Amino acid sequence: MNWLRRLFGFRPRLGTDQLLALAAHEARPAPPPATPLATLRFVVVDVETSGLNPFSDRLIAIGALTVEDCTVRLNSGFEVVLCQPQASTRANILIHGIDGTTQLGGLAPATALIHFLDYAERAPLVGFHADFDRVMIDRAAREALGQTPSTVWLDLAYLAPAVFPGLALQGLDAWTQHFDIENHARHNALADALATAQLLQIVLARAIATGITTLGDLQRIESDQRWLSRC
Amino acid sequence: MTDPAARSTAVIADAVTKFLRRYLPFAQMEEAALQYLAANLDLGYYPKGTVIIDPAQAEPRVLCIIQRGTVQVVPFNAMHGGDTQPVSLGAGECFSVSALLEKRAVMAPYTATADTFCYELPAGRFPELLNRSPVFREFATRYLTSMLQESRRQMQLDHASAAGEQQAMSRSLRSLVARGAVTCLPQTPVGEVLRRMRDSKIGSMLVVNDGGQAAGIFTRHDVLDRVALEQCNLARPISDIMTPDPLTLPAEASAYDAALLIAHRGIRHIPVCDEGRVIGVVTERDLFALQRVSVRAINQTIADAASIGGLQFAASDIRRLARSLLGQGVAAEQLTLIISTLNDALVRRVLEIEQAEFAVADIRWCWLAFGSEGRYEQSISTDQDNGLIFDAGDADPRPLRERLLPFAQAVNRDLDACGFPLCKGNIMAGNPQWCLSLGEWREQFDSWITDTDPQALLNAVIFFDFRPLHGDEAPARMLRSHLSGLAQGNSRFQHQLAQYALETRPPLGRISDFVTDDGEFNGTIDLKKSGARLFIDGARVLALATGVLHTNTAQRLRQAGLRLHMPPEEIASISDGFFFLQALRLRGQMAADSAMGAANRINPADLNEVDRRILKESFRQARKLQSRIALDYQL
Repeated sequence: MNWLRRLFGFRPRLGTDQLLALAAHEARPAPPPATPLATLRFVVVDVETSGLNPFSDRLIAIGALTVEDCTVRLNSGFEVVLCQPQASTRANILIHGIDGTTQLGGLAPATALIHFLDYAERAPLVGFHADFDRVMIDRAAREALGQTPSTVWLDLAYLAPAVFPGLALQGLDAWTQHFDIENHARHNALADALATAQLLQIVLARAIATGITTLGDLQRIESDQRWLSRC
Repeated sequence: MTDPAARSTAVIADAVTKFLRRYLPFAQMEEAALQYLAANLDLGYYPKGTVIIDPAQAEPRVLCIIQRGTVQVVPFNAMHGGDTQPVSLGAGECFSVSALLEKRAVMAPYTATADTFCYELPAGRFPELLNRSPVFREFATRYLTSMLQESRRQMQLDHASAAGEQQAMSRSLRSLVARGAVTCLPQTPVGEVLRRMRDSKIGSMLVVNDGGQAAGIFTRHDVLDRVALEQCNLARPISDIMTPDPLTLPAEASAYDAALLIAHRGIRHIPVCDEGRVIGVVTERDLFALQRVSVRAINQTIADAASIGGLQFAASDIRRLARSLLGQGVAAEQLTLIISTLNDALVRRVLEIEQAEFAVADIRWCWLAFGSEGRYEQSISTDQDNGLIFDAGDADPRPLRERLLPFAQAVNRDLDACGFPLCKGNIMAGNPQWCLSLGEWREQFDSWITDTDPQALLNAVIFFDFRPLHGDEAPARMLRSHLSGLAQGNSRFQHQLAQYALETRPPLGRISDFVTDDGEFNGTIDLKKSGARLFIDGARVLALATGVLHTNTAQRLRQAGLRLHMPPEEIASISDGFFFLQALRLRGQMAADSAMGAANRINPADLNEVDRRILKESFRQARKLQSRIALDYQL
């Protein structure tokens, strides 16, 4: 039925608290492009899903971690499991380790997403292949909240090659291996987020050293790199 | 599971904990404390070449535990070309514990020599970690001790002086030429330049063009050749006779660079430029003044001094040196030793100078130092405590004393002029009471030791720490051995001395940490009377009981402790306690030069956490020494 809801712009019923929380999120000021990277707060995001199809698979969990002052706040970890109508397949569970019981016992999607928005505030969201994370979160938000949150997304899959043009590396694993970043538990949303956050630290340090010092600069080199990779 | 946040942080905290458990001291840390640590860490990233902690920061913002990468630090002493190897730190090692403990800046920069990730505990959480983990506290304080030992080992007497010199020589020229330069334009007439040089009492005139760049230099040296002998017309522009395009140095260059240039090129004046514009001139004399304050240089000044006036300079140099060494963290033991050694040289020189004025060379006399000077424990502001001993043989000592007294009184006055105030109790060689023959001194000590009068005992204590400073040491040595035998054989005297040593108890409270004074000095502790003196008196008792002849408190403790079979660690920790109190006193004296009474006082509340802890521990060490004496003498 999901496709029907999407098609007809079905607006979910939200409680007053939830509507207020959403309004509050939208009312928060977003960091201006001139914000220096050295002190900007980023939220690194990693999602776990029922599969890799961005149009049909469901968002199961969001893991997030704050990077601020170019430092990973290790105790800032955020993870939320969204309540699933039915557990994902066995093969899928083996990937992320979120078992059926946990999936069924997760938070209502609207509540879970509002938790996430409250956590992220308006910080730029960062991921590796962030387009996927973005589509999954936006889709879930449209279904559960009736709207997609206004957020700046940054994709390390483009940013990393932009600041390290000499390294022809593909995929998060290749980058983390190259920089010798340890991943304690691959496909745990938070452990993945930590590895991604460390890659972000390396990218930020390199960017700042080469004169890319503001959020606007970073967005510019990201979109340049996107354009390049399309050629 | 019900609290999603708890579930999520655990993944990372577990990984961090697992990492920390691989390394000491974390491997031995208490579980709860380790979890506290893991839960409060951030993760920082430093590309190769980044300075992670800089001495310019007041104190480190974080405790760094290296997760991956290497960090290098060049130990403090080696910063200016010493031969100490830089230390490399790897995964699991942390820095800078001692700077955090002491709430001060690091001594040297910590630089990432590879791309480095560091787990970082905010400095604000560091005290809580110490609090929660006895294991980590032990590690940190042991670390501190080993750092102290390291600094002591490295900063031996000669090193200490070299370090002071080197540090001065690493100063930037900008800081040396703060006065600003006297300059003139190239078209200024020679006559006016000479007048201005005379009026401003400068040795050189810097000629600058309109843009402020150095066009030339004209020095007093040039006057002879280029003006006087050439009969130069004083109306000519200075540009005709100046040295054009002088060698210059940038403001960031060090005094050392300037000294090199001066030595190589045989020039005396170097213009200093900042972004092309002249900001001043550095001269050979400026650099010489920097180098002057070193032990070697002060010794030379003292040796070269022909009059008391010259020695006054040396005396103020000694104080400046003490200040600078204390500022560099030289341990109290070395520092008091350096001060005493230099003061000794100064007193000797005063004696030599006055000896030429008074005909006393035919008398076998020896100048004695008492009190802190006698113990080699002089601090910055000390008044005189001295006496004379002379050999009168079997003859009447009085005629000799009459001849020695004017000499001794002159020396007392000279020392006063050099900044060693006259003794309020008049314990000075110029006082006929303390200018005695060997026989008279013996009788004096005999009566003090056999007398039961408390004032007699007090006297014995002051005079007991005597040592020969200059002259014929034979009578002084004879007195020392006489005294040692006398006291060692007199158990009643020893007993009394022990009782005296236990009269003041360390100011440790049962409820609060410290017992402080009321009244005028409300809330403070007298570090001399209720601190250092406990160690000094205790060490004296032990020395006396074991026949140790040394007067220095630390030496007395070490030698007597050895004879009493005290464990070396126990002796070391007692001395450490003593030196910590001495260091605090020195710090106070530096801060409050004027108020002598306040200099020895400290308010424990003003100390940082670690100093307060060490202060408490120091008093505990005093208590340990006292209870040992109490046990030995059944008091």
